Amino acid sequence: MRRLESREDLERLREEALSRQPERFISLGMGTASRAHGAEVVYSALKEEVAKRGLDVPIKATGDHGLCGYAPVMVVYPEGVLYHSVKAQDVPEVVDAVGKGEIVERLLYTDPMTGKTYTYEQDIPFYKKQMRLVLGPMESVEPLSIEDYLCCGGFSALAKALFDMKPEEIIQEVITSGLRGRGGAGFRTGWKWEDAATRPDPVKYIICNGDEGDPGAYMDRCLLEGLPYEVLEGMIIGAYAVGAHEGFVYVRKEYPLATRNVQEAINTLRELGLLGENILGSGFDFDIQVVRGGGAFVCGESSALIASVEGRVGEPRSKHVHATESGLWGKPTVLNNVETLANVPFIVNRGGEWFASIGTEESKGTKVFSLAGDIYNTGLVEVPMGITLREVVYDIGGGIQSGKAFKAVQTGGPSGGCLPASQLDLPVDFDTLDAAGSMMGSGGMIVMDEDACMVDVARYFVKFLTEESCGKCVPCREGLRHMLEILDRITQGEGTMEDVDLLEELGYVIANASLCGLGKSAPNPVLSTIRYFREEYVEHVRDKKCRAGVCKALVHYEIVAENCTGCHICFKECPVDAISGEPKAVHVIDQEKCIKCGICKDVCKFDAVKVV
Amino acid sequence: MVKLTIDGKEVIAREGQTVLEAAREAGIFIPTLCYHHEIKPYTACRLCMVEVTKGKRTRFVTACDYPVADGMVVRTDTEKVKKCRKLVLELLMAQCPNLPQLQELAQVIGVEKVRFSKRDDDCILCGMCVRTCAEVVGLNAIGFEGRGFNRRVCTPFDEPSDPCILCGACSYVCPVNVIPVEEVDGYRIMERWHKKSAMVACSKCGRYFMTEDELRYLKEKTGLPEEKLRICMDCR
Repeated sequence: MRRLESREDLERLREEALSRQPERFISLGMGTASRAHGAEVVYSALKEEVAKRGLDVPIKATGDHGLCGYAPVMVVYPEGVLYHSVKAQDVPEVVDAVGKGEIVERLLYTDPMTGKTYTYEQDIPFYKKQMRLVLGPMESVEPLSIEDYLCCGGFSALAKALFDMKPEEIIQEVITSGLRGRGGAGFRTGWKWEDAATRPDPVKYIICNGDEGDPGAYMDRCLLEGLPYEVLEGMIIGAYAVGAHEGFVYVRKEYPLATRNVQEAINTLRELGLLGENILGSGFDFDIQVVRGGGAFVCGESSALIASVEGRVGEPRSKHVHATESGLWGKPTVLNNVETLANVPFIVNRGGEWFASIGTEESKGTKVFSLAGDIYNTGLVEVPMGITLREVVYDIGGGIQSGKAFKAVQTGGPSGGCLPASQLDLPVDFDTLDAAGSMMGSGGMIVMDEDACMVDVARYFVKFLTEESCGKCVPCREGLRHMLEILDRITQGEGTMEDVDLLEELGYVIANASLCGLGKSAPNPVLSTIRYFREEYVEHVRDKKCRAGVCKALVHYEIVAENCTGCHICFKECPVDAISGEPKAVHVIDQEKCIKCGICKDVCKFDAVKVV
Repeated sequence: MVKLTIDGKEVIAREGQTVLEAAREAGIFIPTLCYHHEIKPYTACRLCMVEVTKGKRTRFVTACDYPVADGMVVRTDTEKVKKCRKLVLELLMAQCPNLPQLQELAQVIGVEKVRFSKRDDDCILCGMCVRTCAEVVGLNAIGFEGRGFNRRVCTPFDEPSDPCILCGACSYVCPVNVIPVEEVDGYRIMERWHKKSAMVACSKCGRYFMTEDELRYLKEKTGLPEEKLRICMDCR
């Protein structure tokens, strides 16, 4: 690849790329979520079938498209015909249809709530309510194709920043934009940059935090996998703005594809002269290294992450002195989340005011969420700040599966809070979610239906956090351990009302006295469930009941005589031979033997097994 | 000079001092278990948390590393401070139920009973030993292992630690006195670190006063002739 010596070289390459860019192409989501659903086999089949027919339709293997619950998803452009859950055996039919300009009806998306079938991606409600800004180029860009990225306007923001703007003007735009950190804390990015930029130290660093560790959340993974150039462009602009010449992308070990794509993207940018010395002939030098994290959740915390990059144990430290003053190796350091940096090229290109026109008073722009749980459309969504939780859960998420009732939505990852139906009309922004006892976090969003036991949910998340606590400070290490013990007790029917009070007291102290963000936010799942679902705690403690039938110690299984046809299937499937009964006669469960595994209930076709 | 108030009392502190240092000089009690003036603040025990108001903003911070500032208002006696202090100590007492130092502190700050299940650790994980070894002695003979409540202080792989010179500095700083040092028949033994080393007798008075490992380390560090180092502190 030839080195770009100037802005003109870049624009020339862009024009060449645009002239080669096909109008008609097939985009196949090939991120980790899609690969788990067999996208690689589909990709090979597509290649083969297209070649066999001699069609001039290129196939782009892109990052995940977002509708991950229906992966592999492919879209035929320019029309935007979307096919989902495509299998290798579907491919010949799809390619035939593409060749003839027809449509394969059976692979189109049907809205599970309304039963309506949609041909075009842009009409599907899942996409319609979204505002895909940072995820925008995902479907038309092959992650490592510099040409694809240039065709979406890639690196025009970098050129603008380097040649038309002074560093302080860039920072001012970012301040005007109101961009706040997407990793969880929501600190204003512009202020952070300004603070680092004004430090006199000639050596400064910029770090991109890709240590995304929330269970079920994969916003940053998807961006690093699918649009590494976008993130890196934001990072180079950030480095120029604050005066850093060295940067690090910290990616967790569990993200092999993201690590590979970022590393290869960096290599390409070096070859092109978009990283290294004298970027685009501007005189600005900057290079990036990839650092792989070992997978400790706490390393997503800024001071622990910095310790980890330095090669020390990833443990947080007190942060009275900000990293922007003394961070990596004691030098001024800017640490931004992946998604935060991905927003930067848009702000530079379209201006801070444009960005600030999206969202609410205090939370600007869009936010990517990974929508998971008991809804129809699980996947990655990008919405404008201020959208209500209801719109996300029902309009985008398609509502609760199997017609069950909504119970709670947990936002913000394991240390977020659980919000009930009464809070569904809350706007999604940093401060509203905080005030409601939850948080924006990095963008995890888990929807739960009536089958979720809120005490058990709190127990689950506290268990995760107890295991991930580094153990340095007392409230987090010891406090969480006892929280978990108490929750275990309550879910086993051995709790007392004093235990519930003690949970609240522990929650208060852990939240206030812990050393880092992990501890400070860890009580959220407990405190929010006590706040909104107190009656469930009371039922567990006083009535020894779990209304959702989740807490095994508090339930037993019974066969409803009227419904039992004596089909004998439960008898055959019970792993401990606890069910007796002759074929065609009513069966009975021996409570002494029953281990409450629930298999009988799952296999019964006549609704004859109930949880009491 | 920096002027601040702590619990309503005007205090003059030096630039660069921490709230804890200023308070202690002014005779105001703030409990700590992981602080020692010779090593860097660690902010792990969380017992020294106080409320600090600067301008309009009140924050809940650790006094051991928070720098004083002019006009700062510090409160060490608010409900929040007391509530957190007590519960944190209660948690430590549940972790290590048999430490007299914790019982004494409990009397001072008013922890009456422990409402949590107890385990029988003896180490409160303040890290004083680990940090002293690294920062003062200049060795890293011991360290932390495990995370969360499985965290503990040990030697690498629980084997006798090569760098350990049995200087006993870790034992000296341990606030709960659980790193015993024994001296038997000309040997110094530290069971906790699986180490034993022959001792050096003072060339003047004949008293055993340091280990051979220490002698070797001191020689290397100071470059002083061995015969000088073989004289004990009393005879020098």
